[in-house]
Amino acid sequence: MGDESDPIDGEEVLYRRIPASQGWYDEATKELNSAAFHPNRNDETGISIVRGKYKTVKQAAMGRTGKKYYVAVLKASDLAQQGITVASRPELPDGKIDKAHAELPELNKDNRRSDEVASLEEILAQKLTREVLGPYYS
Amino acid sequence: MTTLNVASSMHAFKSKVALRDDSQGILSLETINQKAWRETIDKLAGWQWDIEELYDEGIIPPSEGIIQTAIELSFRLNEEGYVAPSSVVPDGDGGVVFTHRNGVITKKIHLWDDGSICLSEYEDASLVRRTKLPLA
Repeated sequence: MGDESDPIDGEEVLYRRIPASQGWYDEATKELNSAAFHPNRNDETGISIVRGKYKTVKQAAMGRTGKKYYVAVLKASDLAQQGITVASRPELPDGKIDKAHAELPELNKDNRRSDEVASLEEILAQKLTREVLGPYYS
Repeated sequence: MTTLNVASSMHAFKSKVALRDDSQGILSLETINQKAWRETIDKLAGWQWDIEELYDEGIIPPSEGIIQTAIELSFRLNEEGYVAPSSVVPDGDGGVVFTHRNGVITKKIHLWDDGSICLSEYEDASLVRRTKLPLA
Protein backbone atom coordinates (compact mmCIF):
# COMPACT_ATOMS: atom_id res chain seq x y z
CA MET A 1 0.00 0.00 0.00
CA GLY A 2 1.23 3.52 0.74
CA ASP A 3 4.44 4.79 2.27
CA GLU A 4 3.71 4.40 5.98
CA SER A 5 6.81 6.39 6.94
CA ASP A 6 5.24 9.56 5.58
CA PRO A 7 1.54 9.45 6.47
CA ILE A 8 -0.84 12.08 5.16
CA ASP A 9 -2.25 14.31 7.85
CA GLY A 10 -5.92 15.22 7.82
CA GLU A 11 -5.07 18.90 7.51
CA GLU A 12 -2.95 18.32 4.45
CA VAL A 13 -3.97 20.05 1.24
CA LEU A 14 -4.10 17.91 -1.88
CA TYR A 15 -4.08 18.86 -5.55
CA ARG A 16 -5.53 17.16 -8.60
CA ARG A 17 -4.18 18.41 -11.92
CA ILE A 18 -6.85 19.07 -14.56
CA PRO A 19 -5.80 19.39 -18.21
CA ALA A 20 -7.60 22.33 -19.80
CA SER A 21 -7.50 20.47 -23.13
CA GLN A 22 -10.27 18.12 -21.93
CA GLY A 23 -12.81 20.82 -21.08
CA TRP A 24 -13.41 19.36 -17.63
CA TYR A 25 -13.47 22.74 -15.94
CA ASP A 26 -15.69 25.52 -17.24
CA GLU A 27 -14.34 28.87 -16.11
CA ALA A 28 -17.58 30.62 -17.00
CA THR A 29 -19.86 28.44 -14.90
CA LYS A 30 -17.19 27.27 -12.42
CA GLU A 31 -18.43 23.72 -12.96
CA LEU A 32 -16.02 20.84 -12.63
CA ASN A 33 -16.90 17.68 -14.54
CA SER A 34 -16.42 14.47 -12.61
CA ALA A 35 -14.40 13.11 -15.55
CA ALA A 36 -11.54 15.01 -13.87
CA PHE A 37 -11.44 12.17 -11.34
CA HIS A 38 -12.14 9.28 -13.71
CA PRO A 39 -9.41 6.62 -13.65
CA ASN A 40 -8.06 5.34 -16.95
CA ARG A 41 -6.47 2.07 -17.97
CA ASN A 42 -3.05 3.30 -16.83
CA ASP A 43 -4.14 4.02 -13.25
CA GLU A 44 -3.00 0.64 -11.98
CA THR A 45 -3.12 1.44 -8.27
CA GLY A 46 -5.19 4.62 -8.14
CA ILE A 47 -5.54 8.08 -9.61
CA SER A 48 -2.74 10.50 -8.87
CA ILE A 49 -2.89 13.31 -6.35
CA VAL A 50 -0.21 15.83 -5.40
CA ARG A 51 0.58 16.56 -1.76
CA GLY A 52 0.53 20.24 -0.88
CA LYS A 53 3.11 19.52 1.81
CA TYR A 54 5.75 19.12 -0.87
CA LYS A 55 4.61 21.12 -3.90
CA THR A 56 3.07 24.48 -4.65
CA VAL A 57 -0.07 24.76 -6.74
CA LYS A 58 2.01 25.89 -9.71
CA GLN A 59 4.32 22.92 -9.34
CA ALA A 60 1.31 20.61 -9.10
CA ALA A 61 -0.01 22.05 -12.36
CA MET A 62 3.10 21.23 -14.41
CA GLY A 63 2.43 18.91 -17.33
CA ARG A 64 3.17 18.71 -21.02
CA THR A 65 5.11 21.70 -22.34
CA GLY A 66 2.87 24.26 -23.99
CA LYS A 67 -0.30 22.91 -22.38
CA LYS A 68 -2.57 24.58 -19.86
CA TYR A 69 -3.77 23.10 -16.58
CA TYR A 70 -6.12 23.86 -13.71
CA VAL A 71 -5.70 22.46 -10.21
CA ALA A 72 -8.53 21.17 -8.01
CA VAL A 73 -7.84 21.78 -4.33
CA LEU A 74 -8.93 19.17 -1.78
CA LYS A 75 -8.30 18.46 1.89
CA ALA A 76 -7.29 15.03 3.20
CA SER A 77 -9.76 15.03 6.09
CA ASP A 78 -12.68 15.72 3.71
CA LEU A 79 -11.77 12.65 1.69
CA ALA A 80 -11.36 10.54 4.84
CA GLN A 81 -14.87 11.51 5.95
CA GLN A 82 -16.19 10.06 2.69
CA GLY A 83 -14.16 6.90 3.19
CA ILE A 84 -11.69 7.78 0.45
CA THR A 85 -8.15 6.65 1.21
CA VAL A 86 -5.18 8.85 0.30
CA ALA A 87 -2.01 6.76 0.03
CA SER A 88 1.46 8.26 -0.11
CA ARG A 89 3.15 6.70 -3.17
CA PRO A 90 6.51 8.41 -3.69
CA GLU A 91 7.77 5.76 -6.10
CA LEU A 92 6.57 6.53 -9.60
CA PRO A 93 5.96 3.86 -12.27
CA ASP A 94 9.21 4.84 -14.00
CA GLY A 95 11.17 4.23 -10.79
CA LYS A 96 11.74 7.90 -9.96
CA ILE A 97 10.99 9.17 -6.48
CA ASP A 98 8.59 12.06 -5.91
CA LYS A 99 7.66 12.66 -2.28
CA ALA A 100 4.66 14.70 -3.40
CA HIS A 101 3.03 11.83 -5.28
CA ALA A 102 0.01 10.18 -3.69
CA GLU A 103 -2.90 8.15 -4.99
CA LEU A 104 -6.56 7.45 -4.31
CA PRO A 105 -6.55 3.63 -4.39
CA GLU A 106 -10.36 3.33 -4.43
CA LEU A 107 -10.38 4.78 -7.95
CA ASN A 108 -8.29 2.55 -10.19
CA LYS A 109 -8.22 0.90 -13.61
CA ASP A 110 -9.85 -2.32 -12.46
CA ASN A 111 -12.98 -0.74 -10.98
CA ARG A 112 -13.23 2.32 -13.20
CA ARG A 113 -16.62 1.33 -14.62
CA SER A 114 -18.16 0.43 -11.27
CA ASP A 115 -21.04 2.19 -9.55
CA GLU A 116 -18.74 2.87 -6.62
CA VAL A 117 -16.29 4.83 -8.76
CA ALA A 118 -19.09 6.66 -10.59
CA SER A 119 -20.32 7.76 -7.18
CA LEU A 120 -16.91 8.79 -5.83
CA GLU A 121 -16.02 10.77 -8.96
CA GLU A 122 -19.11 12.91 -8.60
CA ILE A 123 -18.58 13.45 -4.87
CA LEU A 124 -14.95 14.44 -5.45
CA ALA A 125 -15.90 16.93 -8.16
CA GLN A 126 -19.05 18.42 -6.62
CA LYS A 127 -18.58 18.09 -2.88
CA LEU A 128 -14.92 17.68 -1.99
CA THR A 129 -13.20 20.05 -4.39
CA ARG A 130 -12.83 23.25 -2.37
CA GLU A 131 -11.74 25.40 -5.29
CA VAL A 132 -10.24 25.20 -8.74
CA LEU A 133 -7.16 27.33 -9.37
CA GLY A 134 -5.51 28.37 -12.61
CA PRO A 135 -5.07 28.11 -15.45
CA TYR A 136 -1.32 27.59 -15.33
CA TYR A 137 0.87 27.12 -18.38
CA SER A 138 3.51 24.40 -18.54
CA MET B 1 -23.03 0.33 -34.23
CA THR B 2 -23.95 0.75 -30.61
CA THR B 3 -25.98 3.77 -31.13
CA LEU B 4 -29.34 3.51 -32.43
CA ASN B 5 -31.24 1.17 -30.21
CA VAL B 6 -30.07 3.27 -27.29
CA ALA B 7 -32.79 5.86 -27.41
CA SER B 8 -35.52 3.27 -26.98
CA SER B 9 -33.78 2.04 -23.83
CA MET B 10 -33.68 5.42 -22.19
CA HIS B 11 -37.26 6.07 -21.13
CA ALA B 12 -36.39 6.23 -17.43
CA PHE B 13 -33.69 8.73 -18.27
CA LYS B 14 -35.77 10.86 -20.51
CA SER B 15 -36.88 14.42 -20.04
CA LYS B 16 -38.56 15.67 -23.15
CA VAL B 17 -38.28 19.26 -24.23
CA ALA B 18 -41.39 21.26 -23.54
CA LEU B 19 -42.65 23.10 -26.57
CA ARG B 20 -43.77 26.69 -26.70
CA ASP B 21 -45.48 28.71 -29.33
CA ASP B 22 -42.93 30.74 -31.28
CA SER B 23 -45.45 32.56 -33.43
CA GLN B 24 -44.41 35.89 -31.94
CA GLY B 25 -40.84 35.51 -33.03
CA ILE B 26 -39.55 34.16 -29.74
CA LEU B 27 -37.33 31.14 -30.15
CA SER B 28 -39.16 28.05 -29.01
CA LEU B 29 -37.52 25.77 -26.46
CA GLU B 30 -37.45 23.15 -29.19
CA THR B 31 -35.39 25.46 -31.40
CA ILE B 32 -33.06 26.34 -28.55
CA ASN B 33 -32.63 22.66 -27.81
CA GLN B 34 -31.85 21.84 -31.43
CA LYS B 35 -29.27 24.62 -31.46
CA ALA B 36 -27.67 23.18 -28.33
CA TRP B 37 -27.53 19.74 -29.93
CA ARG B 38 -25.99 21.35 -33.02
CA GLU B 39 -23.27 22.86 -30.82
CA THR B 40 -22.65 19.48 -29.21
CA ILE B 41 -22.31 17.82 -32.60
CA ASP B 42 -20.06 20.62 -33.86
CA LYS B 43 -17.82 20.17 -30.84
CA LEU B 44 -17.57 16.42 -31.46
CA ALA B 45 -16.87 17.02 -35.15
CA GLY B 46 -14.16 19.48 -34.11
CA TRP B 47 -12.43 16.66 -32.24
CA GLN B 48 -12.47 14.58 -35.43
CA TRP B 49 -10.75 17.39 -37.29
CA ASP B 50 -8.14 18.08 -34.66
CA ILE B 51 -7.75 15.08 -32.37
CA GLU B 52 -4.24 16.28 -31.50
CA GLU B 53 -5.83 18.93 -29.29
CA LEU B 54 -7.06 16.20 -26.95
CA TYR B 55 -3.68 14.55 -26.50
CA ASP B 56 -2.25 15.41 -23.10
CA GLU B 57 -0.20 13.90 -20.32
CA GLY B 58 -1.96 10.87 -18.84
CA ILE B 59 -4.90 11.18 -21.24
CA ILE B 60 -6.25 8.59 -23.69
CA PRO B 61 -8.37 10.48 -26.26
CA PRO B 62 -11.42 8.91 -27.91
CA SER B 63 -10.84 7.10 -31.21
CA GLU B 64 -12.31 8.36 -34.46
CA GLY B 65 -14.87 5.54 -34.26
CA ILE B 66 -16.02 6.51 -30.78
CA ILE B 67 -16.34 10.16 -31.77
CA GLN B 68 -18.41 9.10 -34.77
CA THR B 69 -20.61 6.97 -32.50
CA ALA B 70 -21.04 9.98 -30.18
CA ILE B 71 -22.10 12.12 -33.14
CA GLU B 72 -24.63 9.53 -34.34
CA LEU B 73 -25.98 9.19 -30.82
CA SER B 74 -26.37 12.97 -30.60
CA PHE B 75 -28.30 13.09 -33.88
CA ARG B 76 -30.59 10.33 -32.69
CA LEU B 77 -31.25 11.84 -29.26
CA ASN B 78 -31.95 15.22 -30.87
CA GLU B 79 -34.43 13.64 -33.27
CA GLU B 80 -36.10 11.86 -30.37
CA GLY B 81 -36.52 15.16 -28.51
CA TYR B 82 -34.10 14.62 -25.66
CA VAL B 83 -32.77 17.65 -23.84
CA ALA B 84 -29.32 18.62 -25.10
CA PRO B 85 -26.41 18.15 -22.72
CA SER B 86 -24.88 21.05 -20.82
CA SER B 87 -21.49 19.68 -21.78
CA VAL B 88 -19.75 16.94 -23.72
CA VAL B 89 -16.21 15.99 -22.75
CA PRO B 90 -13.73 13.18 -23.28
CA ASP B 91 -13.46 10.84 -20.27
CA GLY B 92 -9.66 10.59 -20.49
CA ASP B 93 -9.93 6.85 -21.12
CA GLY B 94 -11.04 6.74 -24.75
CA GLY B 95 -14.69 7.48 -24.06
CA VAL B 96 -17.07 10.44 -24.12
CA VAL B 97 -19.36 11.82 -21.40
CA PHE B 98 -22.53 13.84 -22.03
CA THR B 99 -23.68 15.73 -18.93
CA HIS B 100 -26.97 17.49 -18.31
CA ARG B 101 -27.38 19.55 -15.16
CA ASN B 102 -30.66 20.93 -13.87
CA GLY B 103 -30.38 22.28 -10.35
CA VAL B 104 -29.28 19.48 -8.07
CA ILE B 105 -30.07 16.82 -10.66
CA THR B 106 -27.24 15.68 -12.91
CA LYS B 107 -27.66 13.13 -15.67
CA LYS B 108 -24.80 11.56 -17.54
CA ILE B 109 -24.53 9.42 -20.63
CA HIS B 110 -21.14 7.73 -20.61
CA LEU B 111 -20.06 6.28 -23.95
CA TRP B 112 -17.16 3.97 -23.12
CA ASP B 113 -14.19 3.31 -25.36
CA ASP B 114 -15.67 -0.05 -26.45
CA GLY B 115 -18.94 1.57 -27.58
CA SER B 116 -21.05 0.45 -24.63
CA ILE B 117 -23.13 3.03 -22.79
CA CYS B 118 -23.94 3.76 -19.18
CA LEU B 119 -26.65 6.15 -17.98
CA SER B 120 -26.29 7.70 -14.54
CA GLU B 121 -28.45 10.05 -12.53
CA TYR B 122 -27.27 11.97 -9.48
CA GLU B 123 -29.14 14.06 -6.97
CA ASP B 124 -26.98 16.55 -5.10
CA ALA B 125 -23.90 14.52 -6.17
CA SER B 126 -25.33 11.24 -4.83
CA LEU B 127 -25.76 8.45 -7.35
CA VAL B 128 -29.43 7.49 -7.45
CA ARG B 129 -29.63 5.40 -10.62
CA ARG B 130 -27.23 3.78 -13.04
CA THR B 131 -28.11 1.65 -16.04
CA LYS B 132 -25.63 -0.17 -18.23
CA LEU B 133 -26.74 -0.84 -21.76
CA PRO B 134 -25.22 -3.84 -23.56
CA LEU B 135 -23.29 -3.50 -26.78
CA ALA B 136 -25.61 -3.58 -29.77
